[in-house]
Amino acid sequence: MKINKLLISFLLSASLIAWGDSWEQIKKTAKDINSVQAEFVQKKHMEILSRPLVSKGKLYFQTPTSLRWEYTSPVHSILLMHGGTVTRYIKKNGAVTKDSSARLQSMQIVLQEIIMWMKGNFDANPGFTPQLKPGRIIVLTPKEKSMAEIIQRIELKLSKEPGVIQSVMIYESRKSYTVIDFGRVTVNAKLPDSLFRDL
Amino acid sequence: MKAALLILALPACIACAGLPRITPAAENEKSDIVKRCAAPFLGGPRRLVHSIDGTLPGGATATMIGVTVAFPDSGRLRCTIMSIEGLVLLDADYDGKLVIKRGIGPLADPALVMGMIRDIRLMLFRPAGACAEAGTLDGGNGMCRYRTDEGTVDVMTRSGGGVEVVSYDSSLKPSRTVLLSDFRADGLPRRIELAASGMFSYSLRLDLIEAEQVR
Repeated sequence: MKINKLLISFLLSASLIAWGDSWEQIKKTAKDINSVQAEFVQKKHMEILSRPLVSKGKLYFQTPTSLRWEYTSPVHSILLMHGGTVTRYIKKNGAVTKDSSARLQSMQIVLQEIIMWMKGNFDANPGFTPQLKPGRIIVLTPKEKSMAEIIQRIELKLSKEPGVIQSVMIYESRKSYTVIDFGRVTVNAKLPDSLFRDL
Repeated sequence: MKAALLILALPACIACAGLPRITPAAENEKSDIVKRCAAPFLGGPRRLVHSIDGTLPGGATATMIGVTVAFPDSGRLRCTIMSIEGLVLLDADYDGKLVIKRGIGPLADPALVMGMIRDIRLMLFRPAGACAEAGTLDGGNGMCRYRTDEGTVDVMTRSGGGVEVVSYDSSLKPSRTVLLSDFRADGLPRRIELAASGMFSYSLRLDLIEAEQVR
């Protein structure tokens, strides 16, 4: 019995070591992911703030390209990506408004990047140089100077649980960065299509 | 000669028509009205975080988060505008001179950012200079009129509790209208609405997320 437990522990540890060890392993593991749902806490650090600005929300992802990125506080915002279109809604004081700013086009690029990450394709964006570092850390550095002036680098920490991202750090400068920590992650649960279409 | 004087005086009369008539307050009431007019503006340095809903020229809408550190005594402002996702679109400092530390897209344009700084000053700071006129309007609301180098600004205290600020352009047409409402116990408005009129009209609604004193 004890040997069995040890064996299971060993096999589990081996799989954890293997996940995040190479691009091939990451992609192989991510292939088994059909859906992800998680809660997140976003902390924005800036020189102008005395303490980080905290936002909270939920994330839903369904292969191949459906994403719901929802902030529940301090601003209730729902970003939906489904069938190639991106829509953002703002809920305030019981009213719902559709965000029609040009920024949504750039958000589409960001969301596509997140979808790539969900699929384990961290090295697919030609605009970034990916580095896989010990401790399941992926660092993406922009190749173009114009992009580097906006985002210096992105660091993703993969969870011990295969196929799951633990946190994302987006550095805009030394003093301005965003940390997004994911928690309560559920993988491969059945998610209704309406989640990506409706509020 | 009389006709020439009338023609010369006509533009001034038309201009005056844009300003609401104030019934002057008695001396003993004036200081109270002036105090009420000044109450909704910042009394000391503050750090404010707002959600900002903007309706832009053409009808496009956008929601952002704004962080402002404001020093009413010196007029200094440091402001940051970011997307809800946290991407900083603007980081600017104004201390008599505008410095854009970071500006993405149109927010890299100093003229546009300076316009935003003027809007923020109008929303947060008591109008510069002394109150030139104080009294009441026909409906009984209190009114203070400030005349500054930048133009005329009216501050009207509504009987319902809100405060309306109107700035006028050089021809005394309203260029910006600000409504401060839903005041907290410390006097800060939870909601600020700004409407800019003219060729490129737009509107902003700011909802206070958090505020703290700055030392």
